[in-house]
Amino acid sequence: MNIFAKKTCKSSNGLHSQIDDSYDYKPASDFIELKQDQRICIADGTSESVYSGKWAEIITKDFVDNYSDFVNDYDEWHTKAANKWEAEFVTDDLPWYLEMKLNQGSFSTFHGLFIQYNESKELICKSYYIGDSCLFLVRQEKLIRRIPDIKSNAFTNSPKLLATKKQYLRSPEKVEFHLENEDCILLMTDSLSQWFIDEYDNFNENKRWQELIDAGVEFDLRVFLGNELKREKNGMPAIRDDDLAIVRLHIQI
Amino acid sequence: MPYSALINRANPSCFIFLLDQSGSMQDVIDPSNVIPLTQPQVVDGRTYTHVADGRTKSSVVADVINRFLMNLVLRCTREDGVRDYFDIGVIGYSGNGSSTKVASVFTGNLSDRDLVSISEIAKNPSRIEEKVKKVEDGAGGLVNQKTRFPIWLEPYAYGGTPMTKALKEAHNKLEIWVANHQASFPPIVINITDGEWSDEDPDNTASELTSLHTEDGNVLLFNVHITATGGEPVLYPSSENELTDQFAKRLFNISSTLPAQIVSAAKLQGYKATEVSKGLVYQADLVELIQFIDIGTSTSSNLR
Repeated sequence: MNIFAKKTCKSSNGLHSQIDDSYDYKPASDFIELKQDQRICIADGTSESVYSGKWAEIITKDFVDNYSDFVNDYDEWHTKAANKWEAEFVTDDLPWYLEMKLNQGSFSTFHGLFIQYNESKELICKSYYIGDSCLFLVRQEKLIRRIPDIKSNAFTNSPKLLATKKQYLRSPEKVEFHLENEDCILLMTDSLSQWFIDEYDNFNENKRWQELIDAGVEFDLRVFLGNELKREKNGMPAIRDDDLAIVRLHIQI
Repeated sequence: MPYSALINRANPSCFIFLLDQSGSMQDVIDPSNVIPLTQPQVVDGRTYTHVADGRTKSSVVADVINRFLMNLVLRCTREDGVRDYFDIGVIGYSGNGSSTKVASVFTGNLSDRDLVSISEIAKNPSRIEEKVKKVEDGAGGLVNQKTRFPIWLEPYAYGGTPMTKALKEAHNKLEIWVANHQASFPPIVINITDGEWSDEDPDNTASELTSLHTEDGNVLLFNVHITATGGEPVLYPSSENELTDQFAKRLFNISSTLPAQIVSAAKLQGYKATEVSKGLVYQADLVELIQFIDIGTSTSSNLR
């Protein structure tokens, strides 16, 4: 089975608008061989910085392609990624505001996973994250882990971010845990994460969150967003209108 | 819930700054190297007995507003250009009698323009200063970086303080604006002054101004009084009793109560503010002026 991965831009943007959320993964199959590893990464470029979608794209790809650099020399891994971002733009003859904005750099949340069997043949997941793109581990229809550990009302406009500029560089938080057969891992950017946590914590009897566990290739994330914006919870739309991204992995051991 | 509208290109918001440009604004703030004059000098009706190094109140205010505009342009800048999330007005007030001047302080291509979109502000500074500043290189060192600082307004100080006329001018501009932007976050008017008005009492005019509204709430009027002579500042008072000066009490009465998100912004900056605090800072120094403007315009975080 291939990894399930979807993304869409916010509803108020046109269908083919830029999406500042990004993801990457390797390999595409969710069956993890004994001597292989699985790498997944999701990122959410901030709406207020420029070319943040490009920054999100670079860091997800570079985590998946260069995991050993990421782990062994994070500073150097970051330098290479930031240089790739800066190389994307021509900076001659820019108006003062675009020049200053580019000098500020770009910002994104980040959540990467490395999954591999250890020497004892236990399947281990290593989670590295900065900000509020979240990991959820569902086992036998129960949410047994959320990383970061956050409630639905705790999402803010100011999460921690991975910056292109060295002076703002943060190191990721790291969490490690075991996986079992038929576990379901979901990585989501903030708006979808907030929706998922709210549905699980506060409206669990409806089991709407299960829709993301069971969704197949035909699942249309944009239609889902449109429907949830029309649905009300406590007088507000059930989801915040924002770019959405999700990567889902069903573990088969 | 009022004051919760999201700010976007379809529903921009609006800031108007009213700048006291009376003669007293040429006083030096934080004076140093003070030297007494052999004879007092009268300038613009004011008697001076000393000269000093330091920046004048008018140059400090111009610098603060220029930096605010620069930062707001940057907040609105995306790869496709500057997004029109805000309309901005900056109205100076000065002079006496026939020399009374209440008008937009924009110069150059924006001369005589009242409310200007943020993208037009971005494209039309009156000049750009180039400076070299030291920035961190991320490896513990510093490197020189050339930066450009756009300038839209220049310091100016002359004559009296026709504050009520300035409030009336703001009312005239916003009456039309709110009629055309009913779904928007309400406009915020920030009045920066160093002393009492020299025209009629502002109470009725201020009340008319803050009676204007969008569907999201009434126009907000905040006041900041700046001083060159020190004195204990009074910050976001909840009661007139926190102020001893009659002029300060009058400013309190015409200031709007802070909406919840601005109360939160004030608390984040370390100020004591409550749900009944007014948008008023009395006897502010430079730091408090800058923070007041940051806090008073913190609704720009409603950008979507």
